Amino acid sequence: MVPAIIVFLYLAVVLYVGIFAFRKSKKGAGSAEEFFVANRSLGTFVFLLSLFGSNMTSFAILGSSGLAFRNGIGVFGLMASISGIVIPLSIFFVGTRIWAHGKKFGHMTQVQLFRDRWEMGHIGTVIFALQALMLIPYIIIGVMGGGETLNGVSGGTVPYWLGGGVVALVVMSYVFFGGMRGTAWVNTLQTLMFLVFGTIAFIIIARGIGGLGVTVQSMADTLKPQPAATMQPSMTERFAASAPASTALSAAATSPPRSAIAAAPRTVPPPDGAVLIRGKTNPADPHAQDRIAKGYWASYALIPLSSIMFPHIAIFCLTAKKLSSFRKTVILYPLCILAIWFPAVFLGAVASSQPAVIANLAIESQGFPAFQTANPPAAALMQKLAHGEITAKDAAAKPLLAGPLKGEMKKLANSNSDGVMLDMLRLFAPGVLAGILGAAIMACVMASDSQILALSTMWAEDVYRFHGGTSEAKQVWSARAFVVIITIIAYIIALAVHQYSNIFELAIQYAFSGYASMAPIMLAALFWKRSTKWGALAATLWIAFSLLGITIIQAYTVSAAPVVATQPPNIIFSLGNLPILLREYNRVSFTEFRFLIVLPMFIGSCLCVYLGSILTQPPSLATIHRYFPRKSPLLH
Amino acid sequence: MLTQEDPSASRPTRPTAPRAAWVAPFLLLLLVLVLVLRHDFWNWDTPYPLLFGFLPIGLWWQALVSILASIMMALFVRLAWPHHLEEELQPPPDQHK
Repeated sequence: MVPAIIVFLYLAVVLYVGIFAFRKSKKGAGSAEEFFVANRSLGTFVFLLSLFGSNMTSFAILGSSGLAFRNGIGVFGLMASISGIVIPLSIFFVGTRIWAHGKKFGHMTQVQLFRDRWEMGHIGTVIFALQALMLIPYIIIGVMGGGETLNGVSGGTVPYWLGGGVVALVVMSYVFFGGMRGTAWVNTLQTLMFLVFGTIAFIIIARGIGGLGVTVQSMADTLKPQPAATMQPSMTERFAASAPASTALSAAATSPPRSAIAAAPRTVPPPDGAVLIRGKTNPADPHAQDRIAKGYWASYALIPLSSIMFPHIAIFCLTAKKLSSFRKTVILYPLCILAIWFPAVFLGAVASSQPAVIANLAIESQGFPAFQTANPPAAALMQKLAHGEITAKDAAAKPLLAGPLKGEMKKLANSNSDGVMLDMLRLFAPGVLAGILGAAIMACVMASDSQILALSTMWAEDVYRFHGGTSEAKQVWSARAFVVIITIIAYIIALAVHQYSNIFELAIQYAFSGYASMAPIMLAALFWKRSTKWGALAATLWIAFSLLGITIIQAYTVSAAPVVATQPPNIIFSLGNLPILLREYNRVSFTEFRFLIVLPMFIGSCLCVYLGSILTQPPSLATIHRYFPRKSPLLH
Repeated sequence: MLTQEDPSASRPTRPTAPRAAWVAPFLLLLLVLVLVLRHDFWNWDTPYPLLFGFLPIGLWWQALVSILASIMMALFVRLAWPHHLEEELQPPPDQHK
């Protein structure tokens, strides 16, 4: 309970900082400009840390370490290193221009920029609606992460619903009172706290594991060639054995399309060292699959483009006092990502070889009661291992450390892997320290504040003000009311969907792909004089219908999904011999290269912006000259 | 909408000093290099060599890519900073009179 008390104290400090930040603001206190964009007055230090902090969610810590536990160290390169390249570049090219136009014309949201730049009204409302719908899952993630963190840090004493409720209430309170300045200060504190204590956590857990050198070397030693018979067939072979292409999708909706050979279960769990690589655990096996498909890896490069299109990031770009604040931000951003993601991913991967951690996650998983009913002796053994009554060195634990039972235990643990970092803290850090480190994790988890503020800003500026609300005081109060409503809705949804979806996929599937595909709209607004509102509308509708379509396909192909994440995908739609759509464990991918669905969405969005623009009339020359005062030979 | 400016008002801006011709191709090449290094498919099937005896190559390689990205951004800031955005925000000279 001590760690939970420390986390509650931390939440009280955060609340204090957030609420009283606004009172410290003298100039323009109570104005819309102060509440929504902190009077465009943040200095370099606060700007960097708060911008970075608002981009780090529970997803960065709980999601990444959980994913590394399941899929290995590749998670860092897949998501973090590419973010360290693309996000600073997008801030450099797009963020600086959003700031400059905001300073010049008074914008406080992206939609205001679009409306002004393209001389449009209700098309902006369509863009607002899509942005808002995609932001809500992101907010829900924050509430979920808060509930899970408090639950994990307290060892289950604070239930998930209460933890999520407390976090939602704290965030709602300081956003309600403190607005952007309060949010920025809290984010700065949280980022600093995480950077400092995250490093301490890394050292403590690394020592607790018992020496990283020995552990990792023993994991790597397990990567020896295995008999090919136990491996999955390649996707090409499975495709050759599957049903005719035209019927694949409908068949997938009603019954598993997997042929007998495809359905053959994996008879042995992958070696412990598999998490140290991204490719094949046994390259000599012709049926072996990459752990991370190269097409998936390559197409993931588009995902960080979502960053600058997330309303909370774009709005944060408007808070800088000077353009020079962006300089250090873009240079240090990759290093900040490195500092937070690197230990989280590495420890998540190493934890997958720790029997006590695996057993802990397994007995806390939702599938454990069913397993307990089916195999009481094995379940009891898992509980003993988890509670430290036996160790991996004891002979009694041997059945859990090899063969099918090891696979079962890992499967259960995988389903609960977002709790891996918290479990390691509980196992390896003493009480008070675990509380401080739990508070540090909570710091990252609570990034939903800036998203809630962004959504309320969009409501006040893009809807309320657009439809005639001119009083600044009423704008601010309507935004505050919106903060309360949206937090309550997010909390209810977080409770309802908690058992169905993990943090990572929820964010990726709906928010990241959609926002990344909106990047061409922003790029066109800022860099292409000839772009028009109709191009923006076409792209927005394309993205909306793509997301809807993918959601429907995903829902109707549940039975076609592989049973576990490590199994190869199944083809659900093809043209001739060419696989087009594949059903992965918990997503839909594109072509045999297993590209993320964001790839066709992004290409389609570019085409929509281009075709929609060249086929319609551009805005007036006066507007174009306002946004492009310099004579530029490019991008007419 | 918002803070409207008179579109007809011409705003003379001080022209930014032209960048050297090599800057854009150089930065583009640098970006391509960083992106290629991020796609280290040649390291896909092995954890070796282990840096410091415990970091698999798939991890430390990508960490180096992150450091390289930071250096790349420093060069972008140094060589291609959008000074014109600040210049466009300067009030017209007649306001100072």
